[in-house]
Amino acid sequence: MATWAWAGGGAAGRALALPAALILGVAAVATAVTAFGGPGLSEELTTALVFLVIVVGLYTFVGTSGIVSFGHMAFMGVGGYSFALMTVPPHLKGLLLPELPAALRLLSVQPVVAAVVAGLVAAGFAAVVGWPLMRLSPLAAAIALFAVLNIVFVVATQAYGITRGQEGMTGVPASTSEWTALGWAAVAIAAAYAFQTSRVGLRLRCAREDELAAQAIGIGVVLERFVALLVSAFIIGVGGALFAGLLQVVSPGAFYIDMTFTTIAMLVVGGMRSLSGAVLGTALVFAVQEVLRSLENGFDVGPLSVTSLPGLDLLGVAALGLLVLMARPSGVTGGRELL
Amino acid sequence: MISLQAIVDAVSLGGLYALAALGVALIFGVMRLINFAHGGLIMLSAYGLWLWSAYPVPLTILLTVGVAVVAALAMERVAFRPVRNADMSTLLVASFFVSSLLQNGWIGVYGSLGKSVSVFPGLLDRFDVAGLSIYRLDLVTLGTTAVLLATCSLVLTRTLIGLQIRAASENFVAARLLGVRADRVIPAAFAMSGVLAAPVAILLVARTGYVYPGIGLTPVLIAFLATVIGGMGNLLGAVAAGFVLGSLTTALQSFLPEAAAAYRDAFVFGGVLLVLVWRPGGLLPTKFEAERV
Amino acid sequence: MNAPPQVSEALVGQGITVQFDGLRALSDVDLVLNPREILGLIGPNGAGKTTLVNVLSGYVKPTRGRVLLEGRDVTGTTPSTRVRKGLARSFQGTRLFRALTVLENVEAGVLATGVGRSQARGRALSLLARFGLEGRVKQRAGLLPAGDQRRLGVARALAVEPRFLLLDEPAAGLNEVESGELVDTIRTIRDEFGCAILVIDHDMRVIMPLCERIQALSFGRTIAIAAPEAIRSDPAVIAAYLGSQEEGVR
Repeated sequence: MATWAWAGGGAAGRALALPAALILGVAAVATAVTAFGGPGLSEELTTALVFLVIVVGLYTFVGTSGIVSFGHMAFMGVGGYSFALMTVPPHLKGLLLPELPAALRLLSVQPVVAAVVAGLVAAGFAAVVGWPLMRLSPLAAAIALFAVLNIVFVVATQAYGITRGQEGMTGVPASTSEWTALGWAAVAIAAAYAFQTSRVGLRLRCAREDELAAQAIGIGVVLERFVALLVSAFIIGVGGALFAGLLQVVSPGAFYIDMTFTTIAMLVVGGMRSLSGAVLGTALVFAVQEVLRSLENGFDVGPLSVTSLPGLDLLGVAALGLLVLMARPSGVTGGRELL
Repeated sequence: MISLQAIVDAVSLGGLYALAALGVALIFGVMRLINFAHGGLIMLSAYGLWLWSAYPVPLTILLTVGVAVVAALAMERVAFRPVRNADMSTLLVASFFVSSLLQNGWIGVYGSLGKSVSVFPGLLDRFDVAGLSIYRLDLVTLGTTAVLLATCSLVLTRTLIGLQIRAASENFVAARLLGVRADRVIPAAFAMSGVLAAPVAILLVARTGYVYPGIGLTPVLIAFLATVIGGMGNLLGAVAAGFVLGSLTTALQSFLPEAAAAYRDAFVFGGVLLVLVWRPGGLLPTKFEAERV
Repeated sequence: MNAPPQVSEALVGQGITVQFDGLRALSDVDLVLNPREILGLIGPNGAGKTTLVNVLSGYVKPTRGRVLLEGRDVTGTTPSTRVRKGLARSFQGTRLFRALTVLENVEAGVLATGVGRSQARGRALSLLARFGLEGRVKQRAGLLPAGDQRRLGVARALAVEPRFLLLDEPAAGLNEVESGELVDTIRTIRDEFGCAILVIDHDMRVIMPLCERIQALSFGRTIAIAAPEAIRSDPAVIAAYLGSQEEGVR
């Protein structure tokens, strides 16, 4: 009977400890940076928080299903472009995209609502494209999703009438402040946690551990993966919207290979199988990237002067990711939650 | 309008991508690693060409192949051996990181702009055969592809190491039990993939006259997809799929109407997705996928 | 002795033949598992016992033959479909969800019955208590000692409330005392949960006292189906075991 009481009563409080801790931790760091850092740091903080939303979204699929999707940035793109189409002022849209149908041109939505809608559009896209792919083996699914990303990329670069191709869609109003980003980061963490502890999330994690044994307790896997795909697509779609509202431009290159690489690296370094890993990994890799980026324009080491080193940040992240995979493949958190 | 020239183009490029696919499939067979960094091998070979394009032809080729093989072996020893027994997804991510390391390493030293290279300019001459005007390059590409595939085929069927590579591809556990040594087979496969990467680079550079960090990306992407839809672990399937995808990409360029031609890559990827959905195990699946309960 | 086949209520394998490339794992094997009975499946290594269970549970497609579950042909269906229809199994290597907790392993199984989360958790806890695992509820399954892992595997299989339970070597890794407890546990499972149980094992200390009928396989064929006393003295069974010196009929 004692176990019953413990399991029943304490569980509710215990259950919320992890997401609360993560959110409070992120909020604390954000507040500290805002209070003590300069204005330049504030923009970096916002960027980091947007990355956090994206990586948590990625984790919601990768961490629970065990499928390392190389294509999830497609949903970021879909979300970003949707958001842009909804928030760029109509007169600007008329100038930039003269062929746009009137209905889309006149569309003007409040940023927060637009972000939600962007997430829903991304989820809808994921539903259509992803359903047949969830039956594939993990490796085939990873590559199939990568094919999806490439398709979205090609369409984005070629459908000039809607996306302005390689030039990108400019004129997106600045709607992503550090508090917006922080708020959405909290929502993302809460949603990811709710999913992974839900009945679908639990059954999916079983299938991740051992697909055959999961089948032996009635888990069909396909449906569970599909739900994970939708949830993750929504979160990443919102991330794409936030990114658009931060950079004020949406271009195809922003959600292609470099972003895929960076977000996967963040997940790997932190630990792919835990939400804490997603959060920590984002912070770590982002910090490393920023430090390296500041060195890219050259620096002095005593008497030596090193001039421009473009790509140093990506190089450093790649090296870090590789080291983690070699030394501690389950990441800094070892795939466990902090609490 | 189906022009014979277009067909020759398609077949020629298809052969190139078939070589790339074989390079990736070989390593996948022995190690369950889809080597995204194969693109890096192509990139290094291509830049090597830029460095020694003024040397006599045989030396150029030798050096380029040498660079690719050395890089491949180094890659295996340093980056992939420590993670050899990891699951496939981890290996894939590792190869992604290695690829990024190579590319960004190069960009750090030489910048991200491409370089113009004139290598084997004689290949861009056209000459007439049976009423057709063909580039020498196409003939050389086809010839090289045929020779290399035939050589690989011989190596894989007639030599001991080739046999071991094939055995490991079919069933790695059984091969180990039969005494096949991973420390011999895996580097051998990497070396072979290096030998296959160099010609792809040479012919690509001869064709476009341009070397840039991302030069290996398209071939490796197609090789990627080909390995999966050809049937995992199936070398012949990968080659065939690489050929089909490569020639399809070129063919679509010629056959699609103007407006759709820009989307031809999307069509190819869409086709790949359809194949995967229709036949999840690939077109010619091996028993590789089946896990014993 | 053959139990009268009530096909409409039993788990039935009819004429099961399994050919793997060059190897014939099973040849025309029939098996009937009647409701509420405890059937033992014995035979030397390589006899085809696990393959037969794989066919019955849907992991291996038979080259020939059918599987009937309570009268319905389920031969082409997936393992998870059969779970919904009342069939469950455990695995030789337990195949636990190692990174998940003991509780989560069983809870995931209970969720298959369609109940809500809190109810599932409650049922999982009581099930675990029955297997003596209540003290390890929050531990990662992969860190349990071997005996506990086996018990967890059985508990997880039970969680889906099957009417037919297939246990693949549940006694492996258990000592004398634990096997005795396992016999009691399995019998209690049948009595309280009302399910039929098929037990594969080499340990005759478990098989003999537990099973009401025993089916013996050798080289992919059935060589005997009888009550324990008759099996013990069956010449074909003895010959099969003497042929493989490692197993002895204890």
